[in-house]
Amino acid sequence: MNARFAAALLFATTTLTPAPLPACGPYVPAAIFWYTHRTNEPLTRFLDGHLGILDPELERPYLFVAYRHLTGLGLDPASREALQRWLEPADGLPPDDSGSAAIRRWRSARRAALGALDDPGIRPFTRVTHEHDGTLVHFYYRNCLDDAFETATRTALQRLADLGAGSTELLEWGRAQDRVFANCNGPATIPDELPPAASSAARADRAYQIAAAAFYAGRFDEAEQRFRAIAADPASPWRATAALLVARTLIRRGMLSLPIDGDALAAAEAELSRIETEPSLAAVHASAARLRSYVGFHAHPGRQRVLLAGVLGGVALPPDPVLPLIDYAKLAGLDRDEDSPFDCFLSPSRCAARASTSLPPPLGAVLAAMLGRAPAAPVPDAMAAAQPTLDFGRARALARAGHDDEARAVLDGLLRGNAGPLAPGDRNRVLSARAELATDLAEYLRLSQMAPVAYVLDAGPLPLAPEDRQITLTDSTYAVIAGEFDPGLQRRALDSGELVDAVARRVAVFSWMRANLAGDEIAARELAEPLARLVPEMAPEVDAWRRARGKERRFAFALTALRFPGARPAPGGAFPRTAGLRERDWLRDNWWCRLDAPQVTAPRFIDPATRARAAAMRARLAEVEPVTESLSPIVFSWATSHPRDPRVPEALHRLVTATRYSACAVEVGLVSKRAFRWLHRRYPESPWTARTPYWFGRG
Amino acid sequence: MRCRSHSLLLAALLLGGAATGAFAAEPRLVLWAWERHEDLSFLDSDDDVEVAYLAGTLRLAGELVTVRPRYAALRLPTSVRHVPVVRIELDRRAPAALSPAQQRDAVEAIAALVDLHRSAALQIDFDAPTSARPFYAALLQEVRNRLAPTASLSMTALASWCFGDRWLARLPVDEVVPMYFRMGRDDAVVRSLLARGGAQEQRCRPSAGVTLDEVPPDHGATARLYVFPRAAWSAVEYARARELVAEAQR
Repeated sequence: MNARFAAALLFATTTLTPAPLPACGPYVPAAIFWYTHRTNEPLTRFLDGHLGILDPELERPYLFVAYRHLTGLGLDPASREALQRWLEPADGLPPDDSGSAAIRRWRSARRAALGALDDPGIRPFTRVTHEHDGTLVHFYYRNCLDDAFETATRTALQRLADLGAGSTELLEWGRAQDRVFANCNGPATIPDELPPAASSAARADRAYQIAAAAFYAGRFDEAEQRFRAIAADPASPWRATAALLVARTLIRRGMLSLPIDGDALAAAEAELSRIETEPSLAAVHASAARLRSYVGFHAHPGRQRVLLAGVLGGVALPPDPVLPLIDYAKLAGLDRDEDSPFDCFLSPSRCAARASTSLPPPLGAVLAAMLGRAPAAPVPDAMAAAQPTLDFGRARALARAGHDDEARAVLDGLLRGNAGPLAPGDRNRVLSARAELATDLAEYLRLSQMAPVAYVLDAGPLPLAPEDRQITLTDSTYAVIAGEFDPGLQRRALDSGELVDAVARRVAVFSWMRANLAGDEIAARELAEPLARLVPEMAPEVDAWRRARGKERRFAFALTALRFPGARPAPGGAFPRTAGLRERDWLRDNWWCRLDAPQVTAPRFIDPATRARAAAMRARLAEVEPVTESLSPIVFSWATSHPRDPRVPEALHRLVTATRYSACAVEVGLVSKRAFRWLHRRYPESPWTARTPYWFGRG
Repeated sequence: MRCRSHSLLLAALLLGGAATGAFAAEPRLVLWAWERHEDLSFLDSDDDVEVAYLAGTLRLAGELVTVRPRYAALRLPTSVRHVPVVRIELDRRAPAALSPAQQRDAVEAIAALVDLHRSAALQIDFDAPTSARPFYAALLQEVRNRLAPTASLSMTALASWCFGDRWLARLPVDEVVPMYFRMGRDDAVVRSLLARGGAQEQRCRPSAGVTLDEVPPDHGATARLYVFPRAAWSAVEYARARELVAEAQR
């Protein structure tokens, strides 16, 4: 089993509070059979243009890639690699935006250069609290960005190489740098000027450190003045960086004003434009371009969105399109008068009205297919990358129009690989759509069984390793079999031979339990045979139930249910319960609560009479009380009329246990205490009594 | 109001909610303002309301503590009392060491977000699994030690901690806020138990946390009601929160 998935399950089953109530929170893993927000294709294939079935919910980076391929623009190797790194980082972790990694590198370089000099902690963010006219505005911002620590790291290692370990000049530089970074989150701490006798290199470093300290301390006028002086000094190694910092100082001043100071941002833009045209500042041209984009984002977002759409939808992409893409995604929701084809494709639901009309082919057809508005006829000359989406959209449109045979043919073609091989998630999606159109039970069952591709615990989804992808049913298919099949159809499903063992066992258990709880003895008898066959560990109990009659049969059912906390009438989710049928689940995933029927769509092959019987069964089950409320009257009644039955002490013991380990028992205190007293007063010598030292109450 | 126990009164006094007498009439409303731009400037300075805003999130991964402060701006009238909240999360991909060193780093990280010596109140939000409880208890103690003696320390609590789970009893906090929302499969049983006598754990009774996108359970006679909005706070959301307070009173 994949280690991460195993760890997640282990976490869910062992680490959470094994208290009388399970820990709150959605910690039960949920199966994902196909993705909608990200591609189902392996990312490398997707970036190469194998787009699979596109969904309107796809996140914009995926829609961007699809746009590039569908328009024939494609991705150049550099942007492809940048997107791959961003969308699927090698370590599987999201980008670290806390600055921790850069700070760690600085501290490591600092140790190498400065040795045992005390290492002050660094917090790169600072708090801002503006009070104006009775309103308080409060936020934090990253004061010291990664670039600051990377620059300090490079400088420390360079000075170490130039000056040697232990040099006084290096130590002084290090102490001053500590003072610079103390301003990231703390009161202003400015390094002292160096005396004229110091080396010119040391003085240049110190001048830059003083300016930087003023910048981080929020003394923007002073910082700007000092950076300008350094930028004007042709001898300073910090000249180019200082020129950039003049612009950054203006930006910082503008962004921290309330409201944003547009004049400061305009001045920053002018500075940045000047830098980008100055050949001697080539070292910071790329940084200046990024900063200009940042200023544009805040100063005139509408214009910037148009600019970014032009960049991202243009023939030549920047080497790293990730930052423009992030900015574009943030600006895409802005109100605007007009959408370009690029804007439209990257906001599918917004452009729904324009799909297939004014967008150039094949974008219009693909967008319409994503939205389920595909034309019923095939799109001539559609490119291969678009075909799965076009076919799937067409099938949905055909099915909606009642052309089931044609829809089935298109979906079957997709499953046969007519539009190329399908990724597991896309295949599941097609199977699920095809199952809804199944013409008979066997076909429905065959098409409905599939393996999930991912799971969600409290975050995710996280991919499942191939070895963890066990065949099961989706939550909604289990709900269909439980709620939309009548007992006869359930029996036919169990006898069909179409279900894999694990699925058949679950269906057998919940079908029999539901028939019993609904009081349908005939149905329960019908379902007892496959249950005993498919779930041999329950066979002795089921045989005893079959031999019994009347009240005893009801008691036999109650005892069986109490013996098998995992035998539940609710179908549960796609992932099986982690504990065995006889085992109690630590998180109280035992027995049943109210048997609410989720809203699901019945497959079309189910006839009206079956639907009506299923509906009647659902109505009876909706009245069923949680486990202890349901079973305690049966147990107490039998115990009263048959006190010498040797099964009675066991039933009383198990009833007490159920009051503790069921998730939804309500009157637990009353039931628990009554069963406990009955057991201890009337069966003091029973081993079941010895195993029942407590009763359980709540509240 | 069903109950006005001494502990409830004490908690309310510690948290500044009882002096006006509003406490006797209805719970004091506390708006949870999480990590998004929140403009609460529509609040009236006369409103009997507080704001508990997310100041930052600590993520524990391996031996590391990373901090993500609140980048989104919070606006509110200067007269409205506001309490920082620090959320702690465990990274599932790199299990936290939960060592004493990590605990110290976590406290330092909290101190970087919130001026502990000057803060009048602080809330910690950590859905600690059982294995993290000793760590969490030690962290709370250290935070308590660094806060001013008059400052109040609050913690959120999973609803399950309030029923038959005694670990809250010894924690050095002034307030426990059970989160009666997103209770998953506990939902039915927690609602049922609350309706039949309230939280079993006494420390869970003075306060309750609910959200506007779920029907709140009958949390009983709480002195302070914390509310999450459905989207960013607005006058409409605030009015709905006020209705909840009025309903709680009834």
